[in-house]
Amino acid sequence: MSDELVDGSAVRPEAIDLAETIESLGAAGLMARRAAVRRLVQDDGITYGSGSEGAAGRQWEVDPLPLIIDAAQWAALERGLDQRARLLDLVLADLYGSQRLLRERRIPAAAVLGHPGFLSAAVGTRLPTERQLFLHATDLARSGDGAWVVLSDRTQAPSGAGYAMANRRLIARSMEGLHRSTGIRRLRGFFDRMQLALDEVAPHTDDRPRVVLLTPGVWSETAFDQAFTATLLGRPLVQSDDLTMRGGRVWLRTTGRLEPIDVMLRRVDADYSDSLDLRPESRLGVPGLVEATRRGVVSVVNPLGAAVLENPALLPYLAEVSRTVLGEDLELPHAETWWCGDDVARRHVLARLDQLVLRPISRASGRPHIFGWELSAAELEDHRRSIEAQPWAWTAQEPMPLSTAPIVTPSGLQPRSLVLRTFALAEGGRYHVMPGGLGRVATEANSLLVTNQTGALSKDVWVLSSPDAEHRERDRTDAGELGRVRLAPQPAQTRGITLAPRSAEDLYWCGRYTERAEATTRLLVVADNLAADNINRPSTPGFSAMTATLQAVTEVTTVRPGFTGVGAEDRLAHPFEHLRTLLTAPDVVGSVAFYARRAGQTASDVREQLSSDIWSVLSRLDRTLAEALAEGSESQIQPVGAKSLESLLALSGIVAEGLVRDSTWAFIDAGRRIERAQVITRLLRNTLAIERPPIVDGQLTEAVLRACDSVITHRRRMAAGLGPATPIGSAVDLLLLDGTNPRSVAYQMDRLGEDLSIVPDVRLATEIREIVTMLRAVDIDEVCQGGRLDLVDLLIALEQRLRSLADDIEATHFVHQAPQRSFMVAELMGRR
Amino acid sequence: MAIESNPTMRPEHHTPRRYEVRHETAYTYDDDVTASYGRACLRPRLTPHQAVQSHDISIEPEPDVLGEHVDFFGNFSHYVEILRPHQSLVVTKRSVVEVDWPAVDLDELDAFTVASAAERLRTDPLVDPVEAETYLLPSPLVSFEAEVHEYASSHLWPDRPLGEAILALTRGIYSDFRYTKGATTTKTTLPEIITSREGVCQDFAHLASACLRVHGLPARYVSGYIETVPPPGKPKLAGSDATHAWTSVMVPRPGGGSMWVDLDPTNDHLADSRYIVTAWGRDFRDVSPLKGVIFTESKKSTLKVGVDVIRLPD
Repeated sequence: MSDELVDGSAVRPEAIDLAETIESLGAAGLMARRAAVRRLVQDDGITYGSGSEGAAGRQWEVDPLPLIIDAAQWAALERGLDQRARLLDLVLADLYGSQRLLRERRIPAAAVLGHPGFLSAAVGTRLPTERQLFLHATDLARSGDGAWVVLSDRTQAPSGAGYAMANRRLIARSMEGLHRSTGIRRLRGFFDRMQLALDEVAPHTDDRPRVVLLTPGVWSETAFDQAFTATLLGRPLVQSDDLTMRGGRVWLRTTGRLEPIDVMLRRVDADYSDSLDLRPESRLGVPGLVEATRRGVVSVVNPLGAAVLENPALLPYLAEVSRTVLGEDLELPHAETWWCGDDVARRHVLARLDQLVLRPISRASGRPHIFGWELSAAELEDHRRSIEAQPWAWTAQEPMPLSTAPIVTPSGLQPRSLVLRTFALAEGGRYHVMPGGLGRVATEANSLLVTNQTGALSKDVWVLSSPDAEHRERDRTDAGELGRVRLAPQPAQTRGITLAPRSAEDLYWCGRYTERAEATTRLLVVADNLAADNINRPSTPGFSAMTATLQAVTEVTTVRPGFTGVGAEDRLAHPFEHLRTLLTAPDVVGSVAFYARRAGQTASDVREQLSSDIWSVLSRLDRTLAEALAEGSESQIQPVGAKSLESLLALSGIVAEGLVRDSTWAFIDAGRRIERAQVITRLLRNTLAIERPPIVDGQLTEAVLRACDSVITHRRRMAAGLGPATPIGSAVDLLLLDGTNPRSVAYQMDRLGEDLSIVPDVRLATEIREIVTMLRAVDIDEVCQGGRLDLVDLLIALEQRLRSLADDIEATHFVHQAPQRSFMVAELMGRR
Repeated sequence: MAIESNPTMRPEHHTPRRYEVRHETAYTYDDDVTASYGRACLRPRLTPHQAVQSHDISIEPEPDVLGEHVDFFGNFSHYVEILRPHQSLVVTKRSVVEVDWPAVDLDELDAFTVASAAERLRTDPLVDPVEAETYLLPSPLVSFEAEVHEYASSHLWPDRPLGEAILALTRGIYSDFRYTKGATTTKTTLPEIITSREGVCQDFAHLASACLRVHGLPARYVSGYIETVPPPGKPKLAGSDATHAWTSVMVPRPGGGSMWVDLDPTNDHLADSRYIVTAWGRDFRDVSPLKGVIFTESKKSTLKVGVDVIRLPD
């Protein structure tokens, strides 16, 4: 068995630097690097897999040691991969075109027609480009003699290119020295090339083609890979509900209008892509998509039906087909394979069942690999019967010993079976192989099975630059050519003007949740401060102000029971535990931890729209609160609150400074503004709108101003004699009406108005103007008199206006499509 | 023509004639449908025994898109897109066809056995392997469970003469199963039908196809109509006909190549000039006359189908 680091007893020449690094780091150093990678993965929010709704995906796992492939080896592999892509492309074109390969019996018809990846509905559809296979991924292993051998082809909707890029960024940071001193081929160009390829594959349009990436949704196993790919491509990530068929073509529903789609990079399995012509129960695609591709008005890549190439039953025939259609001998070997639909092959397989790897032609039907030697006599008999009953559905392969690569474990370096996934992309009539790929190693020792489903560990793959200039020359040409891609003006959609209602909704709620987390944190810090000073001083004005503040906490957060209602006495006497809960308990709806988590969730649902900086901030916030929760009664609200605020402010900063003022930003900001306006209103109503003795009022006013981060301004104004004469009047003025205070309701309305003008939304702008007019008409001194009943009325009216404004924003911009139903008329002819 | 070996054959049903077919499918919904995407398989195809004189499909409300293409199975397939809100959808088809369907010479087919016919079709270079395999593999509604194998073996066995076997299967299903409207749905499986011994034409067509396929004979599901005659003395009622489905089996042509024989297990005989073909496929799902996806808050819909098969004067 061969290893990727050592060849026999000697280190492979391409891995000498890596071996030296391993040597100098030592066991402890390697473990530290492993921990560093894990932290980076957590900070970047890189996940794989997800159980069900609500369950976050597992953290992506990356070994710090890269897999290193030297230039000469890679060149040979690249040639083989290029040939394989060209070959499979021709096979694909034939199977959905004239089907000569089947009619001339070069490939058995049953092997193809019996494969679930073959979609008869897609026969007769074609991409406008010469190449039909857009993206070809190949899983390879190295055999005992060091040659790369194909394990399987991935053509449905290949995943992993995004993970490969993510791995590169992780390892470049965590193995910085080695990364910098090694000449490594870069991956970024592959994604620039993919942009070109996506534009090229579009049906003829006058404008720059509109391209989207269709995802099954955030609960998809490879959601991160999809979102990251969309980011790298600068194209929107869309879901079924974002799309609609109109006039025989596909449109993106945006918050403003419908945008026609020219190219769809598909990450939804083909049979789930169209509930009209394919699986009627699917809600992941667009009904009519097959029709739209047949009309040639949209290009779907990989094309619907491309999964037929994943069929292992094609393998026994590929060498001959290659000679026929390419006039070339197949360069990359694959494990010897038999298709059981052939009588001779089946007899051979049945005679050696216990020595072969059984592979059903369809991955959908249970286990993709069954090792004959692991089966009991009874199981062997069962499989024999299955094969005899439906022979076309089975293939068998000679077992393939996989090479191993070392991984870092707590008990030192351990060898694990390795599988390399490569990617080839069609552009300009030829195939471009990503110079690198996704390395995956088994999690168990001695395992031949390497799949992400069972929790594989991944590796960055370093292809060394060649000392000869040939590919460097090419890389340079590419860089020039591809640089233009990056600089080229993007179509309107990528400037964020077009935003799917679902994404707009996520952004808006992300804004609301972050603001709610921030406002709640400030309020809790103030309440805790008051409680610490006054809890042991009953019957003082401070104690009354504390009680009022705590009660306001409950009214504003609406976490009940709290400091009002059942059990309030107890909690008011011992407020700290409840305050801690409101800060750190993620399962309490209304707590800071709850909103922080919600903010993270909504952000990750629109990951491709946001700066990657926010993930480390969100994960820091999460860590702060989780650590405090773990500490229990030991944790102090002041430092935890301060640390949380730091993260929340960093988040606002990233949003404020890191996003262009387009609709993405506008919806986040709108969420923040409406939330802040509502919180201020509710807080005032539950504090200053109730008349108390002046000395209590004074302390409470200060608390409210602190919670609204306006205390300094207030003091300066009072000192300068500006604004209303009473402290209460001044505070209410500052928090409601003062358009220059970023913490006033009036200011929120101004900003909201600007946000909606970006979206754009004229109708709601009127509604906002009415609120502003209502505020302008207020005479502060007047409403603060007479037991403040007018103030109460004002705040109630304001709260209602704000709520109906929020409802209108949702109803106008986050419209979901009506539910989808399928129908089918049966035939019921009676007996004559 | 060997009438004696096929007691179900009636020479008067094998004369040429013309039919007009009217087929109306009407859905009503209890709330607005805001978008409707449909696929209709209604335009009759040409066959060796059928010519189409005229054909028309009309849809109410007027579709935003009405597209047509020939599908993988050679059928005419319509794409229907309606975007204005509506609470009723009416699809009306009218066609005039000429049918001249000669009787099958079962004696000639008896030169083959079930097994030798299957072997010939598999190896004869004149047989298109794509066509043969399309209708030989199982499909969602024509599945190959143990029950299917077992039932098939009661009428078909490898060395049974082919013509005899085809007729025996047709008559066997007719006498083994009760025609019961509503006993099955489009989701009922073949083992369930074999156990309950009841179903409708669609089920019997699937069952016959499965029995033939498991014996290596390609068999397809045919969707169409059949002329019905009112009880003696009664007038024929408008809309009283129905769509029909039966089975077509690929058999070797004695000189080489293949041909298709249509059998109707619902009615105990082979197809004749009273049979009007619309489309064929692996099973019902490939040729459903009308299917689709609607976007609506509506919870309930009602379906009314009216079919008239009118024999026109010669």
